[in-house]
Amino acid sequence: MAAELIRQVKAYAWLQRAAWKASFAYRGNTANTIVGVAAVQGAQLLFIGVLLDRFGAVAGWSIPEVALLYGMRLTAHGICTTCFGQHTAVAIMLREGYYDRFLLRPVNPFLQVLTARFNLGTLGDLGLGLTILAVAAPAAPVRWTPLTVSFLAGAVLGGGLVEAGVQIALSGLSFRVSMFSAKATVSTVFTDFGAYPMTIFGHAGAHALTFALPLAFVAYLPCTVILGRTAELVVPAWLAYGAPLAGPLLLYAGYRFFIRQSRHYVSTGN
Amino acid sequence: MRYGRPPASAAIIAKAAKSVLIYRSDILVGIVSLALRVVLVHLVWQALYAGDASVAGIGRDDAIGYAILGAIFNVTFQPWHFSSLMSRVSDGTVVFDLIRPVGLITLSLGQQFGAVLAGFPRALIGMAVALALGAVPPPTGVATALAFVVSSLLGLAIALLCNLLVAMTAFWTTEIYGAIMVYHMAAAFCSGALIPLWFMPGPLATALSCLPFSAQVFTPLSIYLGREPDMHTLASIGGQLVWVVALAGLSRLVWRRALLRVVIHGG
Amino acid sequence: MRSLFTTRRVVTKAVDGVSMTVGPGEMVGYLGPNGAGKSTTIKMLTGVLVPTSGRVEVNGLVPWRDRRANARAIGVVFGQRTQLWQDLPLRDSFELVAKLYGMGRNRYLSRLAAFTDLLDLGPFIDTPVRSLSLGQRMRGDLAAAMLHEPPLLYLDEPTVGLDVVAKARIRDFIANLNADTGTTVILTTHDIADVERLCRRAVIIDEGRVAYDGDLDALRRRYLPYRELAVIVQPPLPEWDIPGVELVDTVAHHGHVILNVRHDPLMLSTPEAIGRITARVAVVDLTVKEPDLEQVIHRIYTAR
Repeated sequence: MAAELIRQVKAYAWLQRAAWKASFAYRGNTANTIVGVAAVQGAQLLFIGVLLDRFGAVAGWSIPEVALLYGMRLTAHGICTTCFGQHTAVAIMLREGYYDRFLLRPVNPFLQVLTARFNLGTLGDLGLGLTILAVAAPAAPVRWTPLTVSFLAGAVLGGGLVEAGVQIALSGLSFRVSMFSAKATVSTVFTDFGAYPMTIFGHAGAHALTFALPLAFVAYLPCTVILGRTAELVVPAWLAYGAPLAGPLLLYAGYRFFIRQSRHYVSTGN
Repeated sequence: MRYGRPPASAAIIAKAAKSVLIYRSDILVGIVSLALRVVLVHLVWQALYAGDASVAGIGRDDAIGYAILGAIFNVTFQPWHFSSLMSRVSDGTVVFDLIRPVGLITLSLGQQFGAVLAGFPRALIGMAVALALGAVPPPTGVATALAFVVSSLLGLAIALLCNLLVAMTAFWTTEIYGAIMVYHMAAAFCSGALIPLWFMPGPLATALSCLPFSAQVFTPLSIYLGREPDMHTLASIGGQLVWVVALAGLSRLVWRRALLRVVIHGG
Repeated sequence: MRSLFTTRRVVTKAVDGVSMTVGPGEMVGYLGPNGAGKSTTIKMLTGVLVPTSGRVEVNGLVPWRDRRANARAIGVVFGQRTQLWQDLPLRDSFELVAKLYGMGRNRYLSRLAAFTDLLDLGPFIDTPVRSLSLGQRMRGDLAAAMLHEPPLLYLDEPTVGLDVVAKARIRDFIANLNADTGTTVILTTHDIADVERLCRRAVIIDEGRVAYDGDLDALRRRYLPYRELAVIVQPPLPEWDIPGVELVDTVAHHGHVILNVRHDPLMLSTPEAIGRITARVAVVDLTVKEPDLEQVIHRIYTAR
């Protein structure tokens, strides 16, 4: 069992390296993709920038506090897209019949889906996220200690896995139905509403965005721990302290769901 | 540029709308998604205003109403689902379109319009949710409603023509993925679908109002939230008309060039 | 709105009651018209598809259940779709395959050297797969499929779209592989020449059922019971009265006459038939026509 796990992890590394190398085959496209991703995040940044400029604070959170939250969310998103982003392509792979070849190799097909390509643009998400974190962290009212820094690191890693777990589960549904809108919806909710203090969504909204869609685990819950704002939570504070652990759990759940759904796979004609 | 006979165009529009509607579960999710979005945007903007009645001279109700209408317009008029023209140029199937008895421009615009049309029920449901929440005030009168509808349709025409122009760049370069993303985000931001131009710093707002994007969303929304229509409203609609004519002319020009390119590169 | 919640599903059986056993070292041609269920069968054998009922067993493994173990024991080539990494040099695909199948460095290098030699991969091994010709790509795919020395090779239309030279090269490679290492080969194709060159046994399926399973020679005998000869003679036309040899038709040809005749090889051997003919008529030339397998297959397809 352990040997098999090691073999699969190694396979992931080899395949990811090949995908990384292949991503440089089209230089023009690479530059293009990076520009595109920068545009998406840039528009988002402008949006938040204009809002903060006009309104100053959101739900009692100062500008540096919201910036820290935003940086955490974007970094987590970058981790999700760089390491797990390719799962979204599974619908296309199924339609075009590429999925078959993953079943012919002695490697977990899910890993082969993840490593079919490497989207260099996703590095834009990660880079911008880290930059914002680097700018916001010193400005935020936090006394940084090794403990808080490692909590922050664990939180953004875990946050990335939370998003990946949810998205991977949705991608798993592609084996049965077209879920394009659902995936687009969830990813825009993650992108557009993940960087606000959840109190603005009210009691019910905050619960829904914690338990129905685990958006709060991505950045908000751990951020309240770092900022010492756990008192404002509508959920128990231990959830916020344990938030980084939600990532691996949700990723595993999403992966299991994906694999279950993949049993419904019906190969296309040729 | 040839315009197809009406029956042919209608068939294309219907087919495009149908191909979107065929993914039923997707449609349901799309409706729920927009409704959810309306609620969330409402909550965010309520929180932003907190206790204030007015920020930067803009009243709370206007700002919230605008943000929600903007979200609905963004989803409906500026969909990710882009003209199929691009992929058909890059994989070469565009030659089959060229031998059809319907002009390619008609075909592309028809397909886009069909896709938007398929999103209308969703937009109406989103609107109903917003009205029920009291997040968007009902229009101030029949004249306002009428002016809003006219201005929205013109805004849609401008959005479709802009999309077409971007899609036609595929004739010159196949690597336009990044450009598309830039365009999409620029359109969302510059049209005022994300934030009303009111909130933007003065020079930026002025610059943006000179681009065709603000005519897509900001103009109709300002009319909706404004008082009784006046000369200013008519001027705005007139401005939109100018954009439609200008963009149609421009796409005709670009199309001629593109066709030349196809002929030269033929085979 | 009601139809929003219902989905219709039409069940078509692609393969129904196909039963066959393939022994080690055999080379089997798996034939059938488009949509007969060839690819479906191959996909079930390789573990890509799960059969709704029935039993599939390969070397004691159930392919879809023991997918990974099965994958190690088989090589698969789809003519229509490459399994190589398109954007990378061909060599990178081999390296990856070697790693994924857990091959040692030395074993990999010696296998690669052998294949480079046999398939003449040298000139293009460092070219990105995307830029290879179809023939080169197929050779690359074959090498990648056989790198880990599986005892069993599935080929799904390996020569589709190739020119005559490339086809011959692929066929020779497969024949050698079978002769040297006893690799079992299951081959689907539309090109009968592939089967005639490589296989002794043919399985023909049609509409998801086995229409024929057996020797190629027996197949010819069953569907083409007569051996045909073309006899060229000087006019005037002789009276045809040779026991055991039947005159089918006569054709005028550049001042000669071609007599198309046939005999049943079970009743009268071909040399004996030729002897009887030359004894009775003045023969200018004579050819024995090869039984046309294509015609046989066509007859099976249309005889349903």
